[in-house]
Amino acid sequence: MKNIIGAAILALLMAVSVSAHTEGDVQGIVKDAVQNVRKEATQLRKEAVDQFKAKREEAKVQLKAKTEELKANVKTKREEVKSRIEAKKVELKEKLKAVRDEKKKQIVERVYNSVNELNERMTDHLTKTLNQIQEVLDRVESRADKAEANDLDVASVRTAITAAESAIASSRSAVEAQAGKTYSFTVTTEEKLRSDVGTARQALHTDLVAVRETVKAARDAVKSAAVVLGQVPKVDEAEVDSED
Amino acid sequence: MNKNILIISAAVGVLVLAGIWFWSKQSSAPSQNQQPSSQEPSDNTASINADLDALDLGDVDKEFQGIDADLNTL
Repeated sequence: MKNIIGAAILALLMAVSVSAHTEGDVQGIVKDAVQNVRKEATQLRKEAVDQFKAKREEAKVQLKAKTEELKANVKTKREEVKSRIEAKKVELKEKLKAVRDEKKKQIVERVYNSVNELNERMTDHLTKTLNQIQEVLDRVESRADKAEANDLDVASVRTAITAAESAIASSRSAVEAQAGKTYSFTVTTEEKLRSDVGTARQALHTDLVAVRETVKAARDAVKSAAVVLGQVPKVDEAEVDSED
Repeated sequence: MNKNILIISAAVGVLVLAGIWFWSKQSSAPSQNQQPSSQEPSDNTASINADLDALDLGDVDKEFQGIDADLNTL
């Protein structure tokens, strides 16, 4: 009987000991798992922030390169056409010797200057506008990057951004080509001066309207990207803390 | 007497040096109210849309008014 009681007490003690040990282990395992999950979450967050920062740095470099490149290309084209414009001006003066009306001669020369100056002014303006559009697109991209770093789905925004980039690239080519154009007059007779000069005027008008349309298309493409961006739930609340 | 002059001179010297140090700190430290010169534009959607709407694409026809006026006198 004594033995049985002793064995029972021993068994009870062992059971309590094993039970206490198991409970402690489980608590430890759970604690470790929670710590691991936290560590992994922190690591993932850090990676997302690092990725965001790297993306933004790269985007900044790209933006600067693109805007500077467009300005430089337009400037180069302008330098190239300068001498051509001057040469054509001399040619025009020669042709105008056949015109007797001095006032008309002066007007034709003035219109020649105005037409080529207007081309320069408009291409400058469109270059500036196109660079502004590119900068706004960069802000769309920045917001999309922040959203992505906060686990929001921005796949549709990325597609719209790519389309906008393409529209801007097309417009950039058109503006650069326009900056390299010159407009000269074919003077036939004094009576036909108006129509001769009008032909060059119309050519410039058609060209400028077409180039402006490409800039408008680029602006509209960025607008579309902004609309798609605005459809991402809580997109404006997504932030990436630089101290993360 | 000489000792007093020496102490006063040293004190004046220390005050002058402290003044120079304080002045140089003041002039080199940026003002607290000063804003960063190149603040990045906001990238929230409202600001993006506002800037897109404000873009000026130019008015081609308006630019031709002077040229057309001249043409009409030919």
